[in-house]
Amino acid sequence: MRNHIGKKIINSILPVALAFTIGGIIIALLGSNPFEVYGVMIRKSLMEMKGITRTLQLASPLLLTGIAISLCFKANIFNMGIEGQLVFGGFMAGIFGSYVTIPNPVLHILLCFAVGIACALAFALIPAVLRAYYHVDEMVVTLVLNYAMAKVLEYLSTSVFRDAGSGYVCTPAVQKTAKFFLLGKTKMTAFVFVSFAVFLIISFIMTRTKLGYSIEALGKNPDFAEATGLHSRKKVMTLMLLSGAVSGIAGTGWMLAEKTFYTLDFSGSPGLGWDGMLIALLGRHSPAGIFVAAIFYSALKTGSEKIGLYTDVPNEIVSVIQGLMILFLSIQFLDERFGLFEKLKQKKADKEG
Amino acid sequence: MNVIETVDLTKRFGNFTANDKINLTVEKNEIKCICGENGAGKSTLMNMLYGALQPTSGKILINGKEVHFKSPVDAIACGIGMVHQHSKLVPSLTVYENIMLGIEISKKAGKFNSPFIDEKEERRQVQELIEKYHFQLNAEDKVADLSVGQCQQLEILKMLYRNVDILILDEPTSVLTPQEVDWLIDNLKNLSRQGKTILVITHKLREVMAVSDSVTVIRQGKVIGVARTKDTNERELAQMMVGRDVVLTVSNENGGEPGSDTVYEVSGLCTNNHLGLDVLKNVSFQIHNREIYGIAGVEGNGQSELIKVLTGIMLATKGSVRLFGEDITNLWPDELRRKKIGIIPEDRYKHGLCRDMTLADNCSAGYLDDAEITRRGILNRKNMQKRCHDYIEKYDIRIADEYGNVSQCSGGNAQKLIIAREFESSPRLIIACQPTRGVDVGSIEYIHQCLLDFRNKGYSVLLISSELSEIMSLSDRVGVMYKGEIIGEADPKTASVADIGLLMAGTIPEGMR
Amino acid sequence: MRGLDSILYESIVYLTPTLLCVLGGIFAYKANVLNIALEGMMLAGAFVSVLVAHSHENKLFLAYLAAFAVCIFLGLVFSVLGVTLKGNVIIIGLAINMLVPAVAGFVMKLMSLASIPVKWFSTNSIMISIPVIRDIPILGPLFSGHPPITYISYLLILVMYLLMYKTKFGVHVRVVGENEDAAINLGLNTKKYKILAVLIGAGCCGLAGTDLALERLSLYTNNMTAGRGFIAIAAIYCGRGDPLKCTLYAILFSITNAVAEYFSLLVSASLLLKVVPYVVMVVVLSAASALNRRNSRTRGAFSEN
Repeated sequence: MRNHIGKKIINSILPVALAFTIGGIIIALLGSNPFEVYGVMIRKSLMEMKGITRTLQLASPLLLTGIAISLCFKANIFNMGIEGQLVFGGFMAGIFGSYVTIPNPVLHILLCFAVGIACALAFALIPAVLRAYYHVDEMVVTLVLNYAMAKVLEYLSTSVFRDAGSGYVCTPAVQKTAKFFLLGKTKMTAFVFVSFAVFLIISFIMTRTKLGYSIEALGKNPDFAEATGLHSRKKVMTLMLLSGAVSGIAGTGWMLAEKTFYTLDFSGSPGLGWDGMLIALLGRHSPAGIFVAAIFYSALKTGSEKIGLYTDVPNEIVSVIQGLMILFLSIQFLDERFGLFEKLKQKKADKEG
Repeated sequence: MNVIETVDLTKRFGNFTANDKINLTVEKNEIKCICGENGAGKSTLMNMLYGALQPTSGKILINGKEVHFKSPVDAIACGIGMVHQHSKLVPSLTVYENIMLGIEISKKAGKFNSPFIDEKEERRQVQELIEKYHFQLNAEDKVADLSVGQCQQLEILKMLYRNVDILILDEPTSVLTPQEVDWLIDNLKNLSRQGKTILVITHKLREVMAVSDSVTVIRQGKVIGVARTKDTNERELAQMMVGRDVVLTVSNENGGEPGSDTVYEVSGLCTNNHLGLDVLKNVSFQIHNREIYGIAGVEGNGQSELIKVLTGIMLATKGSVRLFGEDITNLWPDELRRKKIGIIPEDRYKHGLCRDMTLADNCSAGYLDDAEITRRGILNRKNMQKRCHDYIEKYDIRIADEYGNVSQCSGGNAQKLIIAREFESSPRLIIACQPTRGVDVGSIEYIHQCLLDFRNKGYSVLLISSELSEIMSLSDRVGVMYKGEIIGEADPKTASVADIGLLMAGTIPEGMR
Repeated sequence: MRGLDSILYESIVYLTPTLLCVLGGIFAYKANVLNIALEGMMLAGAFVSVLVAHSHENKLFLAYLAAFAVCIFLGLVFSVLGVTLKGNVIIIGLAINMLVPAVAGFVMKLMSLASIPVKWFSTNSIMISIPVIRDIPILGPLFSGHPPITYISYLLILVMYLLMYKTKFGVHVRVVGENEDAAINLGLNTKKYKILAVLIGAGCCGLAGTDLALERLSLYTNNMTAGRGFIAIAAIYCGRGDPLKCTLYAILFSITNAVAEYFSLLVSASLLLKVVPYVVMVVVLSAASALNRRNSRTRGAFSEN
């Protein structure tokens, strides 16, 4: 078993190292010193109080999207709808937070979350029903629905809910009572705690409960799961909706704690949902792994915000490194059965034999 | 001269020695049977002979010359063809397309081959071949529409088209009716007269005696004995295969007469497959207390669908299933288990176990809702492990690591794990499907005894198996399925194998009408 | 009448890249290698064709070639990771889909451009106007006044059909996808067929991207493919990899899109109409799936039939 975990860790670290190496080469080709660039990223994200709290703040939605993706992917459901659900939940929570006045901040925030979760859930319901009861390929549907949602929100934010006072396309900011404020001199808000709590609950579900067992069984052998009475259709519904709700929390939190109003690049590029995908893969779908990966990745983001300020390299290098990471994460460098190294060893042994 | 000769042929997988210094000789034109238990190493040996595996050490000589096959293609080029147990055909293609796969005939464009296939010529050649060997095939049929027996003929034809001199058949009779088996045996003898050399891998001794000229017995990767078939008998071979005296047949005669209360009643059950074809037509039968009801039939006649419907993973369109008078039609698998029906599924690693989950997880599968396992949705891992430990002890399941995954289990031990799980939940009825497929002789005896003990305690068993001898020796009554129907019922104590064979082929014998 | 002509013309504008992705993607689909990187590959084709045209004045041919080559390269990356090293093809596809816009964004940032124009080149110069046909209503907008790749895509419908059903290559690709064991046993090099299937898709995506960006707009903006690759995948799913059926679905989606675009010019809530094609796609995909399984009696969400 210990050996197994060791391999998992190596499998996650190697692709990261490879991606950073290629990123480094690109930086070097542009005439900058990659060690300096990476040094700035690490210093600004993990070595200063402000950097660390900023990292935690950025990690909070990522923890949630990461585990939301894992919930589905681990059960063999390729649900790509997290991004769309997050954006929709965040948008509607933002609208509620700005248009509805509730003097009590706790109540206001809670209701914003309720709206965000409800909307994300409703949007997750479409692919969930189609997947569970009509066997429609969830990947294509969720991807396409993400595009559709982007168009809908573009329409809503440019017409119905446009903040007329602003020079560019955005919705009005949420009211003060609905905002999470920075805690003390740090760069983080109470949303960090909300996110950690939700993350712990989902982790518990994944590891300790019957639902967690179902996820594992569906992922490893869906026929077995069905034949032993786990009702795979219901479980697909449950998991897709649960991950929808978690994305709703992530979107609402991002809106109330960070953005406060909706813009067309609300979720960033390539988007929090996609970042979550990377984190889930990097963490190999285990809660502990996802936690480490989310912190690591948000440190990367915090650092990247500073790259442009301190060096000549554009921030976009981080997206490139991210893409490369996912690309290399697709292959298992080490595995108990089909690993690359084992295969090479086997080939060598065959030749000798 | 020996057509095939192996010298100290050895194959190791890691630390496991599958074949240990095998010396095998096959003479020209002979029919040679290689027999041995499941896991004895027969398939490994054959895989080396036709190039799918490469030996760790030792030599293979074909017609006296040493050969090194890198792939089945090399073997075919050298005149060795393999007919597999599991069909390697492509269902969406036609008979002729399957035969021509990889050696398609191109249309000529002047002197050159065009990239297009000359379908007409292919069809003509294949039809010629079919007629030459008197096979019951049609060149233009889609393979998806063929029966299992026809698929096997097609596999043989595929090799004959490639002009092989040596045919290797892996468990060729496991999916055939007794009559089809006879046809196959005749044909094999015919082929050997025409100059082909034939190797048959099997564990069915009746057929060894019927078809072969000589036989080699393998146990635990070693050659145990070689004999001319006419100088040996079934009992001796069985003793060599297993290494001790074996009870060739268990019987249920000492358990008393079946009861008269109807426990399980299936009436008018119908369903269709994804293409809309009716695969179950009005299936009806009853099982009483203290009774084993066997369902025999050639694979692919609706047994799988019947199993799926009865175990809750497929819906019936019509008809009903009752347990002690209570309607349980189309209940879910977990509901059926709560009604105290134990399920031993047809495909062990598909529906019964999850290879990549732990033994403990598998021991509780299907019974997760037990109070000691789950409370308010939260699993009690300690109790799951304890249950697993108990089952391992009680059912003598041999594994290396109690905390490891099911993938470490041999076929027999994996099946025993399912047996333990289903019998320990105090069932009233057991649905046992292919309970001994791919299981070693020791475990077969054990599993059969479990089923008989269960029956003798007064409970009921539905036994669905394509192993006719198993059905005949265990059941109190046998129903035979043909094309989605139970076309006849028989008492195994009075009916002959030939009668059951006729039913399996769809003919109702004179005495049963 | 003019309205109809404009809708038809716009349908073809939309259809060309989608159709190319479909025709290229069906081989990977049949070989059982799910290639969801069509979107990213097409975007790469678009980016490279415009980038090369932008920097090499009057060397249009070079732009076509570069786009094709880069897509083949991406196809090779996909094949090496997915087929040779047996990586998870879904993740590889996603990675390529993310990597291409990231690299494009990075390069554009270095160039300090928000979009890449090709100033020396007018798309009108490569439109092929066919005499007689161009004056016939309905046929005119369908068959005249389009850039070269559109005509190539028409031709490819037939070519791909023949390749799939009438040649050794096609039969072998289908066998590899349907029963890999059988293919291995008969000595077919399954990896070779899978890789070739992926490369056909990649090459077609290169053409698709070139058509989308260079031939139609002579402009590149990031994410200009707007999900066409996934719409192509949906068409492939609906048509189950049959070249002709898949083409029909691609046509259906394209017409929907053109109709929505056309009416969005007339209506005030024009942005909202852009949702219509996506919705139609989900509905058609669901209907096709429901139809395929109308006789299914199995209960599992993952059971194959």
